[in-house]
Amino acid sequence: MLLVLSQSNDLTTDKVLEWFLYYNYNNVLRINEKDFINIKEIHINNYNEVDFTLFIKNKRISLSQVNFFWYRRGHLHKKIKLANFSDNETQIQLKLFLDAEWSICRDFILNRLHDKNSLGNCFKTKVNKLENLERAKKSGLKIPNSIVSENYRMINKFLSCQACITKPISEVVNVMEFNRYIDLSTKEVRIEKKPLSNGLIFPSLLQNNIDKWIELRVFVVYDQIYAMAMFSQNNKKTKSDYRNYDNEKMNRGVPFILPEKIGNKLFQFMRESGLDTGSFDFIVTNQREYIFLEVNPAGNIEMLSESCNYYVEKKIAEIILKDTEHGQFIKEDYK
Amino acid sequence: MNQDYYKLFACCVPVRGYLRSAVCDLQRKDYWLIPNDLCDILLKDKDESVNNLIEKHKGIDVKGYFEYLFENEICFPCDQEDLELFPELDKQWHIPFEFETCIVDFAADLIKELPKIVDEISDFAIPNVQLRFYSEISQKELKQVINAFFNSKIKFIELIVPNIFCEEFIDDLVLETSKIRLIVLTSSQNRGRRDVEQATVYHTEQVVDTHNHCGIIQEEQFVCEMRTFCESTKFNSCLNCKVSIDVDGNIRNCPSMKESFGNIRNTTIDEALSHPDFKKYWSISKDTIEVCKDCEYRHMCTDCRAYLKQPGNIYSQPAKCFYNPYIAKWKGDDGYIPVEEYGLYNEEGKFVLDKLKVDSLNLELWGA
Ligand code: SF4
Ligand code: SF4
Repeated sequence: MLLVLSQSNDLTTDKVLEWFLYYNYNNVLRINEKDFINIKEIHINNYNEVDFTLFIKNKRISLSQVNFFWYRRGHLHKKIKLANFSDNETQIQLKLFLDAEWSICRDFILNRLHDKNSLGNCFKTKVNKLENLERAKKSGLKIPNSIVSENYRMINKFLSCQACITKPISEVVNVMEFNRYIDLSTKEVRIEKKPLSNGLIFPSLLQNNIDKWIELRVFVVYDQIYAMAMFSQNNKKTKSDYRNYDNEKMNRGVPFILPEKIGNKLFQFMRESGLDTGSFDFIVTNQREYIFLEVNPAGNIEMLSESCNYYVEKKIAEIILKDTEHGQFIKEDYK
Repeated sequence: MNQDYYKLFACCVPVRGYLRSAVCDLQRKDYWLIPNDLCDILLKDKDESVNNLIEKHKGIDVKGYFEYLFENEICFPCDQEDLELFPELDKQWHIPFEFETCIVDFAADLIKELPKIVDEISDFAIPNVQLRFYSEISQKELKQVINAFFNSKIKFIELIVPNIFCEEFIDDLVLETSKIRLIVLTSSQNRGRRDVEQATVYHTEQVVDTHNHCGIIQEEQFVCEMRTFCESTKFNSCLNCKVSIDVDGNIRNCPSMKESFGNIRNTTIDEALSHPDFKKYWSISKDTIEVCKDCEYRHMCTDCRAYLKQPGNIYSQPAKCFYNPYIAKWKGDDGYIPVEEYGLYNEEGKFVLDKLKVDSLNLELWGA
């Protein structure tokens, strides 16, 4: 059986599963983040192999039935209900305890699933941009010069040497103020003439603003690379981050062949990080240097797949099927 | 970096016609009409610098052409070394279904078979149904039909029905049935178009009381985008991956086609589909259709194989096309003359053009 962990609104999963059906592979169970999970048993003893049995959406599944695990997105959640305690503090403490209890079981289950043939990794979804920059550098990729500082003078010094952008060190989150989202996406920054009163700001990431020719979005699944070049320079609105979509004149996204030597460094990076799939952002400078920006282990594939007519979802289905007992049944011409 | 070379954006695909060409922008879903000499440069002189091309084609305003191409973001300037980084679009086309669209022509009799039809279609997990009604139907019955499909695995519903409804009813219908994407209200008081939530609602005065109304080729219905373009390079733009049930329950490729492959009352869609002739038309692509293969619109056109200029010649131009690609004129344009006056189908079913006659007419119409 193929087990998929995803979110109910993930179109990529929908599409890949359509291809499974088309290839006549029905032995698929999709778990969405919010699905109700019940542990019937996890047994770890001296006599048998480790196994577990779960009830998911009223279906019984045991570890031994699973022969492929595709981790796409989301997590295994447990609704934790507590009796009402008069003391609020007690309630909170107990809730924390139960959360911790559940998370151990959950991680154990997920680890065993990852022991199977698998794609994606639920323990690698938290992105650490700073770690990734270092790792990219070690893999031989070029990266933007970056500093993190909360010292106003340091920041101004960095700014005085080069044009800069700032972006979240973690991920963009939605914060509302007066019914509007605060825009936390990538921004250009300039030297402030007037220093803040105490000279302090929260630790912030600054990177030199790279004079870009094009941006690349590169999706990798195992050893397959799908790259798209995005042209946005013509459009003032999208100069620093192509995600500020411009509807009238959609940015051009076209198929791109990633040079082999960059591809090899990318694979090196993935080995170092324990990733078997991911979406990478690069900038290609006017001097044709390839600069690594970020990696998202479970990024959006749809736009890349559609703009470049790659049929990535079909490819993913075929790759997974090859690794399941069904592989041999796929007709040659589909491969 | 001199950037004196150029590259077409892969999503901008030149399509050469007899008299002029189109560049299809599959991302922005639009097209530009361009002269053939420019199209030839784009198709043949891919790896040359713009300066070279200016030298090479002295008689043509290459410089002006490229300003236009860069301005409209059809091409981008680059270096020679960059050329190999940008492959052409892979024009593959696939769907994860046995077929994609099912047309059902409803008459009172066929509504009795509704559960069976829905059941049959559901077996294939296909995305689209188009429900067509040729005579008036009550609100209650219409709702009954739509609900039956709404509760199936179908993703999108299109509806063509004589207009006896008030706006509120239609609006409510769209709101209640999120799967409805298109409603065409025939026999309406007037013409119009409005958007209701996820759906587009068209009103037309036209009376559509039989399937004979289908097959008209109109510029407004051209679709210039990735999927239809790629499909049209290998498959038929109308009949590919289509299955229909006509008013009598006959299973056909489209209700207007002569061939029937059994009746839904006693034949399964699966049985019909596996008949060796069912998919006969699916792979008749525009490049193999007479006249169309010379037309710059061929990869955005809707095509029709049921009504043909030469009935019986399945490779002849759609009967209800009133465009003449040899002179680039639509019926109604000044100087329009039908295709037939400039050529004949020979015994092998090929359209033989009277080139001399056409070229001298073009000289008159368009100048040198
Ligand atoms: S083949 Fe012609 S008649 Fe049949 S559905 Fe297509 S356009 Fe309509
Ligand atoms: S000749 Fe008419 S039917 Fe053929 S492709 Fe052109 S517009 Fe379409």
